[in-house]
Formats: sequence, C-alpha cells, structure tokens
Amino acid sequence: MKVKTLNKEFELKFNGSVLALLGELGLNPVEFLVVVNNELVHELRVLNGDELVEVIPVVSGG
Amino acid sequence: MKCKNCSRQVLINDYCKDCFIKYFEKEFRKGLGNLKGKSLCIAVSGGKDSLTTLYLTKKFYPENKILALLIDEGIHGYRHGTIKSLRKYAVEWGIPYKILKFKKPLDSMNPKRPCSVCGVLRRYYLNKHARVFNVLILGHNLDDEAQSTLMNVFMRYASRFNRMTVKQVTHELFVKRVKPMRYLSEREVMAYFLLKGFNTSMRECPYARSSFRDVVRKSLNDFEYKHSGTKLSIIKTYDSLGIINNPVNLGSCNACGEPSSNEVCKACMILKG
Ligand SMILES: [Zn+2]
Ligand SMILES: [Zn+2]
Repeated sequence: MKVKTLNKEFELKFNGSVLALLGELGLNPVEFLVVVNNELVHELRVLNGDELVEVIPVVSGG
Repeated sequence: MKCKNCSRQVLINDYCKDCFIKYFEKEFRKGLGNLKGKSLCIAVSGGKDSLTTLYLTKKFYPENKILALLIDEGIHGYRHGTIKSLRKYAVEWGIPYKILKFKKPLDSMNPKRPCSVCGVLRRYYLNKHARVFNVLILGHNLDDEAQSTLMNVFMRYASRFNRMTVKQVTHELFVKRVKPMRYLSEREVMAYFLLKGFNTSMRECPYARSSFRDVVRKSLNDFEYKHSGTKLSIIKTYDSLGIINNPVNLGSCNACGEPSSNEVCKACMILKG
C-alpha cells in the first residue's frame, strides 16, 4: 500500500487494522486519523494491498 | 461494530458518520449557549478549529452580526495558507472578516520564548479589537484547554486559573468569551472537519515543536491513550473548582489601560522591550 503522511510518501507491505498500522509506525492513535482512498475510516478497519492510506495528525493547523 | 445510536457501521467514537456529525453539532450548540441578539467576534486563524467554529456559529446564529477576526503574527511560510482558506470560506459562508497584522512580525522580534510572546500579543489584540462586540468566540478544543490547565499547574500560575474560565473575569474592557469546543477533543474536531469535506493548510507553526505546550501535549496524549477520558477529567475537575473560586477583578495597565493583573501589562513589556 501507499502510505502518505504530512511530509512524506512511501510504499509499505502491511496487513492488519488501522490501529495496528499506527502501532507499526510508532504513532499514538489519539493523535492521528486515517483516511483510506479519500474516506475517513474506523481504527479497526482492516487495510489491504492496493490502498492509498493517509495518516493525518489531528494537531495540524492552528 | 454498530453505531450506538442506529444500526449503521461505526466510524468514530462509537458513532456512524451521520450520528457523529449530529453529536458534534449538538455539543457545539450546547457550548455556544444562548447568543440571541448578540454581536459576535470570532477569533480565526484559518486552521481547522477556527473554521469549524466559524461554520457552526454561523449555522446556529445566521441572523447575528458576525465578524471573523484573524491576527497575522508574521511567521514566515505559516499563516499564508490558512489566510487563503479563511478568505475562501468566509466568502462562501457569507461572513465578513478582518485581518490584523502584528505591528512587528513575530519573526523579526527574535523572541526567546516565541509561543508565549505570540500568545500574549494575540490575546491583547483580540481583546482590543473584539471590544465593540458582545462576545468573543474562541475555537479552543478540549486538548488546548486540558493542556493550558496542566501548564498552569506545572508553572504555578494559580492566578491564570480563574482567567481561563469564561465567566470569572471582571473588567470593563475585558470581552466576554465563549469556547464552544471546550469539551470536544482535537481528534473529534479534525474528524468533523474532514467529514464535512473542508480543507485548509495543515502546516504546523514552525515554533510549535520547541514549546512547553508541545511537551505537555505529548505526555497528555500518551496518558489519554492508556487512560481514556483523562483530558475531560482535567477540565471537569477544573470546572468544579471554578465554581468555588472568586471572580478575578483585573486592574488596568498603567501604560495602555488594557486589562492586566500587573502594573504594566505583558503586551506593553514585550512591545517596549
Ligand atoms: Zn448512527
Ligand atoms: Zn499595557
């Protein structure tokens, strides 16, 4: 899958839930929302192969 | 998993998309209180919190006189993007706006503690220019409020405690404040913002990472992750203290006459130093 954060984009081989992905990336789920193919998803949503996964920090902006 | 309100698929906070939006707007509406007939100045930065505040205040009080007031701090490469968003949405939602600049851009002041200098000056200008309105509406969310409360404890700023509440300050030049998102977390605000299809610059202030607030935010979020509900508990505890506290009677700054708890206000000290 393609993972996009605020300032970088990378390919990642990953199987599991949104929550597990955040864990894998070392991110606190309180501080992030995840958007898959332009739609906000629940943290238990299972991610699969060809998706565009955006990890959005909730603190961004002022 | 099913929504706790209906039978649809859950999206956030045990709610489906529609029920979450309903919940969020209901909480916001409750936070606004009764503003019938009041003129409203809304402090905006053009970020997600203030745009959400602007949108929903207008939604619930379409007949009120409203002004969106943006203070441009003069931080290179930061404010530009959100000003563009403010302009776009203000026009779209039919809300007049005003943009004020710091007399001296924050960057050029080269401050040792940029976030506190910026905060003092922003509050100073906001209060001064919102004065002709009945109410100043601020887009602070639960995270902001819980952080501020803890920071006041950590820094032993007991006197600032009372001033944080909306009802406790008395000074003829101090504008009444309302914070409709005080009980809504930053995560909820962002979710609402995204679900409504809104968009703005998500760039973070270049100074933010070096601030004490950022340290507190990080620890508080770690705590919240392990003990869900921590932020709300902090605010609720604080609220219940507020009731037994006496209102703060602020004095006036000898130099500019603005409300201040010192002889010369912090803004004057910064601007003269
Ligand atoms: Zn529902
Ligand atoms: Zn002064």
